[in-house]
Amino acid sequence: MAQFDPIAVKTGIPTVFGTDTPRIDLAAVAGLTTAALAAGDACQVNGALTMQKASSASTSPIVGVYDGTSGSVVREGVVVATMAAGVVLANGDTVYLSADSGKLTNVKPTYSVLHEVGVVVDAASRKILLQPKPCVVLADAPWDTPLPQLTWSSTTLVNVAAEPDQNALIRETLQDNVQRTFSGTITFNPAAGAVDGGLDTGVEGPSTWYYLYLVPSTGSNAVLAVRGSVTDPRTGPTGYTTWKYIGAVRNDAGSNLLSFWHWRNRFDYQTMIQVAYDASPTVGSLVATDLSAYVPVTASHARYGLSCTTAGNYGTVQFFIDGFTGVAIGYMRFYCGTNAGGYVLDDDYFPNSVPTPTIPKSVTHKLTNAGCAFTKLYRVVNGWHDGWLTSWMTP
Amino acid sequence: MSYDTVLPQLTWASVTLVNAAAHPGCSATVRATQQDGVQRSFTGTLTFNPSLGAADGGLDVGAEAANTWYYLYLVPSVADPLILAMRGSVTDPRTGPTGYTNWTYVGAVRNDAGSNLLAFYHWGDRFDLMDQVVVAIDASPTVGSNVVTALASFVPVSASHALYWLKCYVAGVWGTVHYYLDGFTASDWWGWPTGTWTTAGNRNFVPNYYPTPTIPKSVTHKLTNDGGACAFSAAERDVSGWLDGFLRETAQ
Repeated sequence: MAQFDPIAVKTGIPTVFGTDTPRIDLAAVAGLTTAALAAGDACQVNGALTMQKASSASTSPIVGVYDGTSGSVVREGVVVATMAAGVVLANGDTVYLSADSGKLTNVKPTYSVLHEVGVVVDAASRKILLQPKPCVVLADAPWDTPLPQLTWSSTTLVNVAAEPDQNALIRETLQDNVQRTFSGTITFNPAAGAVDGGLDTGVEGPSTWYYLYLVPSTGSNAVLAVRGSVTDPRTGPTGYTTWKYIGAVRNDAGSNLLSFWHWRNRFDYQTMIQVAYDASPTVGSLVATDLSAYVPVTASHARYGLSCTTAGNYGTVQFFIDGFTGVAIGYMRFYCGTNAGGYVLDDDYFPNSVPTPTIPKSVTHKLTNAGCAFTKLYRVVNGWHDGWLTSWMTP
Repeated sequence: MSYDTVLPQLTWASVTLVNAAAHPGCSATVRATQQDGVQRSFTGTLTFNPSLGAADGGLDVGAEAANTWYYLYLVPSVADPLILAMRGSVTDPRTGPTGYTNWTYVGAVRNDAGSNLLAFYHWGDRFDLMDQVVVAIDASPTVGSNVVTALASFVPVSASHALYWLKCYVAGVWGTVHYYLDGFTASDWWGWPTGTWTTAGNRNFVPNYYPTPTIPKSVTHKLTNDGGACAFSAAERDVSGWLDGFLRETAQ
């Protein structure tokens, strides 16, 4: 990530770009083509440094008009631009290439190469005229670090710190494009109420998922604190517009935080949780298991399985993914039973982890009896993969 | 230039359509710097429909064929070369799509004999099939020698690991199921993971991610009758997904 400022140099040795007006010339640029251009056509830059005819549907800045004969783009210095949605310009605004499909914006982006294209000189006209100007590149800011690791410390405390092989300083850029940091270990204690290290709002409730966020701390806007929220990252914590989701934890009926092991997008319960026990399980039809109390809404996969006792002949255990219960076999089909009979088997049926693409989270199974009797069916969860924890993958 | 984002998530929408959009929790704009050093982007959702033929949102060249792997790429769009479109190709990412020098590989999908795209769930480098594929069923499976299972129709050439497993009925004691990785079939008596048992019954041998380092993709197994009285029957080999070794994210 880097910052750009055409006026003030904040760090590093300045490098000046773009003192010339925009001009692209066939003679000067190897590979430049002007195919399909006609005299008077507006032109735009494309990725291969060739020119193509601009159309009303184009979202890239127009940099000039082709003269039709010489191979040059004329009217250099005049950039007729399409602005990103919601941009309101005033004369004197510095204008940059936007991340919005190549449109322009007057909000300084945090790009690492030159994206400034000029200054607005006639905001009142229907077509904005941009006057190119020098630009100074500032030194790069450090990359964001991988997200921190959550560590269960006690039934009232979760620690948040860098992964073991990482520098102790965590850097994260939040929604306002400001990079904030914390160093060492910060803690989450839902019993603390609405404070840094506690909740976004309200007081702790039992049997609740808490979605943990890094937010600007109360003491310093540049420093990150952790807060928990009952609001998941589809919305973010109450009262905050800048935040970074880092994982979810749950407490039990006694408000004790359930112990877990976290590594990147994977959360393992330290004690497997029994979702249901069926002495006489349903056989021959689909059974949906609601996992809302066992994996958070952010879970992409649940580490879920069945254990049961079988006797007699052949049977199967099938797992189905939400919305795909009508398929031929299902996500995984296990064999069970003893065929010849005579034995009673206790066995486990554990897919590696089951996709849980929809909310509320659930998994469906079906037991099939071809002479096989099922008893003592346990449905268990021992963790999940968090599908929202992708930031650590960013190169 | 801002940093490249995490690659998009592919979502099976129907037997004719796959969507590509940013993973949950990521900005809706996906940015990828391609071979020419130019960063291109798209915002929202791109679609892939192989029946469109050679067009943005369709194929690189030619027309859709049945029982085919389609390797999906972000490429400069026809309308605006700074904006990304999605195209499928029968050419895998060792080469890239035909006619393109700038591309970013985002995953592979397969259609069946009726040209219906197989349903899947994708996150990071992990692809789960919504309906497991039965690779083979052997009423009287081979015992005592290596059996190579070709996986070319079940995982793409970009797969680093296959979510593959074997199950069968065993009677008597005792026997072993050995898995071997390509090129390592004679290196060790055990091979990769094994299973043992003392009671007759149907056994499911470890749904797991088996490394598939070489092309064409395959897994080798061997059933052994170690106690002298172990019999195998009704063996089934299944695939439920894969990890894509050409995608840099890790989701296992």
